[in-house]
Amino acid sequence: MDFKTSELLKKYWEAETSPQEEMALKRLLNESTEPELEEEKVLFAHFEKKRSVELDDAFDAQLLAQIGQMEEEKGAKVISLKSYFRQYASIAAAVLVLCISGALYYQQQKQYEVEDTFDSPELAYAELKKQLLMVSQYMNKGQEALKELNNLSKVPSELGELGKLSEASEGLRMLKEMNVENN
Amino acid sequence: MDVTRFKEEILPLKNKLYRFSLHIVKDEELAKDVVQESLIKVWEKRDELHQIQNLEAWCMQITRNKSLDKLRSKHVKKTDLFEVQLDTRKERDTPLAVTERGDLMKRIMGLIEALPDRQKEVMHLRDIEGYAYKEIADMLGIDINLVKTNLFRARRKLKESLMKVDAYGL
Repeated sequence: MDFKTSELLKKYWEAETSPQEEMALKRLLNESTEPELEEEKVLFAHFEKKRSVELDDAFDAQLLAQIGQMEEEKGAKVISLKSYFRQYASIAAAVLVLCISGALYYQQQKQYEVEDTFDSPELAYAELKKQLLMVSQYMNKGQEALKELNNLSKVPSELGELGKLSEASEGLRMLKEMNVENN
Repeated sequence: MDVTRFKEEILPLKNKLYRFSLHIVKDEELAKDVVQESLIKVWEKRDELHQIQNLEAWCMQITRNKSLDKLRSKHVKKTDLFEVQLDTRKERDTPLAVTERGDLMKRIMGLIEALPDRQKEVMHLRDIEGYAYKEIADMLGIDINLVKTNLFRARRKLKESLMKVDAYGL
C-alpha cells in the first residue's frame, strides 16, 4: 500500500477527510490491486453502487404532467368562478337597467298624461269661464268676511270704557263704608 | 418560479432525494411516491423559495420528513411489520452465514445496516452523496459537531467490525 493511500485511509477511518480527499481515496482504491485493500475497495464500490441508483425519465414526465394538471385545475377553477359571477352579474345588470328604464318611462308617461274632457274649444272656454267666475265669487265672499276684521281696530277704544268700572268699584267701596258707619 | 426553472433547479435533485428516501423506507415504490410528493410540495411552495437559503438541503429535509411519515404509517400495517422482522433477522446474520454466501459486499451492507439510524443517515449523506458537514447538519437539523461525531462513530464501528472478522479469519 502506498503512503498516500494509507494516510488517506487512516484519515478516512478517523472521519477527518474532506470530500475532495474522499474522492481521491476512491480513485486510488479503484486503481489499487492490493489484496489487503479489498474490504475498503468493496466498501467504496458499495457506496458507488448506491450512488448509481436513479429514477427513470418516466418519473419526470409523470411529475410534470401532475404539476400541469394541478395548474390547469387551478386555472380552470378561477375561470369558471369568474365566468360564473360574470354571467350572473350581466343578467342582474340587464334586469336592473330594464327596471330603471321602465320605471322612468312610466313616470314620464304619467306626467304628461292629460285627458281632454271637452270636444270643442268653445265648450272648454265656456266651462273655464264659469269655473273662474265661481272662483272669483268665492274670493269676493272671503274679502267681505275680512272687512269685518277691520272692526277689531275699534275694540281698543271700546275697552278704554271698561276703565270706568274701576271708578265704579271705588264709589261702591265708599257706600260700604257709609253702611258701616250707620251700624 | 415557473416550470422551466423548476425543471432546471429542482428536478435534477430527484435522484439524490430518491436515494435518501430509499435509504429510509427501503421500498422503491414508496421512495418514488415520497419524491413525487416532496417535489409537488416544493412546487406548491414555489412562491416562498426565495426565502430559503439552501434549496437542496430544504428539499432533502422535506423528503426525510415524508419518508419517516411513510415509514410510520407502513409500520402500523401488520403485514409490513412482518417484513420488518424479516429484515431485522437478516441484519443479525452471523459473519459466518454471510461469508458462507461468499459475498463481501453483502457483509459490508449488513454491517452498515446494523448501525444506529442517525449514524447510517450521516454516512449515507457523506459517503454516498458527498455532502459537506454543514449541509448534512442543515438537512438533519442537528449541530455540525453531532454530524462529525456520528460519522466518526459509524466509520469506527465499521472498521472494528471488519477487523474483528479478519482477526477471526471468517
